[in-house]
Amino acid sequence: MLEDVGEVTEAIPIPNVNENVLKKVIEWCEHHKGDPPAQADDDSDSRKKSSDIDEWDQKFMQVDQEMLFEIILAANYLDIKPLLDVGCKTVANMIKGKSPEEIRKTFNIQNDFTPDEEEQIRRENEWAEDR
Amino acid sequence: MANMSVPVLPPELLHIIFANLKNHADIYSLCLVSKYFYTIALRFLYRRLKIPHRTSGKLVTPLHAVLTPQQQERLLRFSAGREDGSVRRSMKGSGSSKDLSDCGEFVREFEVAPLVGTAEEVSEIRKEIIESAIENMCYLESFAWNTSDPQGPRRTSRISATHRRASSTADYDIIYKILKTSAGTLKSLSLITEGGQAHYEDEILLFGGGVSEEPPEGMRITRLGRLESLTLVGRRITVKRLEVFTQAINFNNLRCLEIVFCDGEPGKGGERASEGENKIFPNLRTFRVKATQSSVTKFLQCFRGLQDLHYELECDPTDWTAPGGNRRQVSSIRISRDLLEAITTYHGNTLRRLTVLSFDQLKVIDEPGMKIITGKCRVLEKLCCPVLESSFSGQPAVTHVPSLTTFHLHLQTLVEESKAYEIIQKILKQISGLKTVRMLAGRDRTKAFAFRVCPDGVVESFPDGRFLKRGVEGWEVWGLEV
Repeated sequence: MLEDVGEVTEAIPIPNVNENVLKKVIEWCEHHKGDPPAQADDDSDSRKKSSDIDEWDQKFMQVDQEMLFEIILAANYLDIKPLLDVGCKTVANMIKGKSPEEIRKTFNIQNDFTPDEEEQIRRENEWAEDR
Repeated sequence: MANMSVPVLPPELLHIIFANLKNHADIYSLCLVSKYFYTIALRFLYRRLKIPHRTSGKLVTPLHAVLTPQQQERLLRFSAGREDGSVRRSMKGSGSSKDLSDCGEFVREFEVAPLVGTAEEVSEIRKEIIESAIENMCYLESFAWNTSDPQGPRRTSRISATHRRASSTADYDIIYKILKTSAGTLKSLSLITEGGQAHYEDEILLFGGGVSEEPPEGMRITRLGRLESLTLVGRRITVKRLEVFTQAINFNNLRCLEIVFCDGEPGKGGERASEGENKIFPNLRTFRVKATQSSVTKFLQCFRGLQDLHYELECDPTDWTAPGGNRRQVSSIRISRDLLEAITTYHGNTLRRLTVLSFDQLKVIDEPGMKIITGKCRVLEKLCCPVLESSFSGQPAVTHVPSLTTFHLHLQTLVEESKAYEIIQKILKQISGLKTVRMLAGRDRTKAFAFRVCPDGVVESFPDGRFLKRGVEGWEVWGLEV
């Protein structure tokens, strides 16, 4: 972002990120400021899985859902890829092993399929069920 | 703060979240959550397609994605049988008209095992793959083709054993079509030929298209600019033939190359490789190879800065030339000094993992050879190699390598546990930074010993709990953990 605006002396407004979320983002950045940059040429052996979340990050992400999604949006807006990555992995872990109904319940999502539509999707993709 | 849940995240963020889910059942569940989720999750459902090895019965064996054998019966299935001879695609039990070609654009990984069945059945499957399955796979990132066709992928006309001019094989047509369709996105390509002999001209036509001749009319040169990983099994690749690939592949992008020669027939393993300093694929980091020592030595001279070398020994021609002209395998006890010099000279400054395997032979890295490796490979972290027990009986076999944390050794002789402890003690004396030592003993690797160094300095033998402790006289067997 700073690269985009060049050298400035005035404050940069970040209207999409509120105070509480920004505090959390800064807390995360403070903790990880000494981390080595991610290696682009890491081989597949060292590629992390979604379950590989640092212990500190796991505790950091133990917030309510609204805050979690605000952090993800802020990380995306501020282009902080490692934080975005941790946030997305946290949500992915919340989805793992859940049925469609459980996912809806967890994230408060309305089922907008008609019974016929749902049945058709089940038929077309039944090969993937329980795999 | 406004009430917020996952659906308010924009599609690109949901895409990142869903990409973390590898289990098909999870993706399937997401598809059924809501219409918004369905549109984003569906592409992940068809991301990976495998055509498994399978013997067919009356029906043409399926093109389907598989995880477990029990579920195969429920999977996407192709069946033959229309009177007009065409192939009918259907989802078993569903009656749906949806077929795979509708989802081709979602597919990122496509893997085909050897197709087994009658010639007609196999031909039918191939036809099916060509006509529908790959039709829309324009965003493919990984493609693995495994053929058991004795003809192999072949384009160039040549006189067959029956003196008839043979045309291109279906394998070739499929590979060519895949490469053409997804040339812009393909990152990983595996061509595995069982029992076939690929020909130099085929490599040119498939990949280079213009090294020594112009491609035939209607054939385009395939440019695989994004390719990062190339696996070639059973195609006799020499350095000269490898140069053909550089015509098609952006050599700056290739990170991993795997070459496996299928048979151990002497005298054909790369001796035609051109000499000289061909610095091809300068950014190659991983090289996995099964070939003769002489050809691997030549390959290693072509690359610079490998980080991971995985080498499985094949017989050298010299292994087959016994006195009197008899063709029988003779045992050669040492891995060639030229090979070790090539490893250390060209890759010593960068090599982090070195694996040398000798499954069918008795070749070992001897004590001087070990010193060459450890003396020049300054950042080596993992070393796996066959050695002799006697290497650890006299002077230190391995000089100090501060970065080495893992050492796997394969002793060609069978040793008792007490001897294994003795060897481990010597190794630990020489390499202070070791965290894990694993030892396989005997030609058939019948005995396995594994040790790890705990943070408190205790060396633990696992899984039995016996461990070593540093004593006044060095490492000593201390007993079983209570």
